[in-house]
Amino acid sequence: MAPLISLEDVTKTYLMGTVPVNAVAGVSFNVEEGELLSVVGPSGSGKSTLMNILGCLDVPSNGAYRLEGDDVGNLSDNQLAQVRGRKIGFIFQTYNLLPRLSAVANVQLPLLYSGGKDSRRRSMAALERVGLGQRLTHRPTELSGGEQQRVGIARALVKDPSIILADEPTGNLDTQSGKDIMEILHALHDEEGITVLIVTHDPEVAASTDRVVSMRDGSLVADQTSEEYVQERRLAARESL
Amino acid sequence: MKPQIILLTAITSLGANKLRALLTLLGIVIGIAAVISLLSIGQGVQDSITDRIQSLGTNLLFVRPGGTMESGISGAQGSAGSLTLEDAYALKNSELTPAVKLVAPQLSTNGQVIADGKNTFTQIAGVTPEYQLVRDFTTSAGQFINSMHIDRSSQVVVLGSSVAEDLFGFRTPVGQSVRIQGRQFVVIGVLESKGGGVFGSFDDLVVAPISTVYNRLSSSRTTQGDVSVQSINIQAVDVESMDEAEEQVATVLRFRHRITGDDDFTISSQQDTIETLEDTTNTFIVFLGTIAGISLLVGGIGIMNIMLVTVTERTREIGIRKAMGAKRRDIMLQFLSEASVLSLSGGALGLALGAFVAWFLDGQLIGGQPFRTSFSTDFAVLALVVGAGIGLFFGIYPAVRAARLHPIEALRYE
Repeated sequence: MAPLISLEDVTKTYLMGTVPVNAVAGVSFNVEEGELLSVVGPSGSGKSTLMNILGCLDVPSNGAYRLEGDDVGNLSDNQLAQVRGRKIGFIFQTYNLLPRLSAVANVQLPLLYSGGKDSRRRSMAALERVGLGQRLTHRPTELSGGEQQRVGIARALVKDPSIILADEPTGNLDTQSGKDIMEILHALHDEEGITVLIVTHDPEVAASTDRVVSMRDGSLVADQTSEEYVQERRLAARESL
Repeated sequence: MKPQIILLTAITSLGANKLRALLTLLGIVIGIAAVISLLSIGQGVQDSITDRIQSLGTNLLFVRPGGTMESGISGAQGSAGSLTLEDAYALKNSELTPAVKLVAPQLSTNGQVIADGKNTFTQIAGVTPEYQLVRDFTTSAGQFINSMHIDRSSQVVVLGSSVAEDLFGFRTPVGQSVRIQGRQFVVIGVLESKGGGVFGSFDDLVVAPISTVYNRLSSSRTTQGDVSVQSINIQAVDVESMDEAEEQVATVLRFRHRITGDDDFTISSQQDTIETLEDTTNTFIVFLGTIAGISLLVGGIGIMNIMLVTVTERTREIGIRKAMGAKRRDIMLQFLSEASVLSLSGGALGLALGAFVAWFLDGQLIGGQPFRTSFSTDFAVLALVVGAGIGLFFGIYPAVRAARLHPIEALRYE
């Protein structure tokens, strides 16, 4: 069976003024269905650009991106929107909830665009799943950061996506709320076999996933199990002493 | 996305900034109200003019002499004096004019009418008894000119209602006497008021037997000694035979005047007059509507302005929606429906306001005369169509701009 995600020599070039810059330069890797992995790297390493490509918000300049075997690189704007609406669940660092809508209406949003049936009931179920069954009609401003992020998770979850892409999901949260969020993501992976990809700065978050992909200057520099990743970090820390 | 959800989203978004929405709305409300009330006023003017002309009588044809031709210089219409009393008798009695029901020649002069030290300068119309029927006059007191008065050239007059009021106030004029050009006339009747018109009042005249006018007041005769008249009013048998009557009258007059080339008379129908005046008032209505339309344009630009601001403010929202799977079309429809809801509700409110203004002005006395406005359901349809159209027209650019935003840049927008 084809991997869920397959990147082949993917490059994304931006023009900085007149100088072309490769934000992502020749990245190849696969993600299998049911994986829980993280992408790490310093700022400017190209991990955000990579995530935008994986999330079909952007298309590669060169190389091939196959999602469930389909080449995404040649899709039109509308087709990309459709793929986003049906297959990709986004979780953002800043939550990106619509402030005027209630929690349940926020969760419902993707279903309205993809035309899913029974959208309200499904949204309520998704909010139950993340432990916000009592907060359905609250607006984002009436919720704590952790709760808002849980609404974000419910919104990603509600469409039964092929993959959940989380961009620094704990970046704006205190330690405890961050732990809660990671627990929910782990639970979704462990209990429902949902594929989760987390882009993060936080080594602890990375270490808690099964596989860690490291990026630097637009290239993939390591693709390790979390044990290998932790080992390497210890060694690096010792050497720098 | 379902239409009701799009609509609901639009209303919710507008509700988030009520004052702004309301002020934008006001631009359209004022524009539409101005168009509606001005159109109603224009239509009212047109209606009252048409009514006025129809109050002259029904199925009327007016025959007037043509212009003089002297040393190659054409005189004014009606100056020739080529139409005579004999022509009128011929038209009345000819077997060639079956479509003609009544013939009423008219010979008018102007003069001072004096009674009890009061005087007024007015038109003195010399007429025959048929005139009353043709021009649809009724007497409020006394009687009209009859054939005996004509035969005897009696010195009697029937006063128009405003002349009667000027000379006698609230006293009864019938039986009193007035002086015209030094001659004594007995008032035998007073005409019912027909109200003021655009071309002066129909009540400001004195009616006398036509024979009295040409024998005693104004002798205008042709070289052959016939009496010239200013016009011959003709009533056709019915509205369908108007054209027929016109043709028959022309034939008889051409024969009598031995015309081989251009006619020395003109025939115009009441309908011609109405149409000419309607053309004029239509221009007037279009002119008013255009002026009001400019304020509508300004309102539309207001909508466009606010929608552009809204799109910029909500860039991040657009990014989020796109990330959630919204297509360009979804985003465009969202903003287009907001603009349309604004302008359509502005149109509806403007319609109500305009209709109220029209209703309020209707019948108000302006310059002593009742003002008339006429509201028609066409205006309502127009207001709503134009309202929606403005929203779509001025909303399309902001909506397209929103739809074209790149999702990543929109998401990053602070």
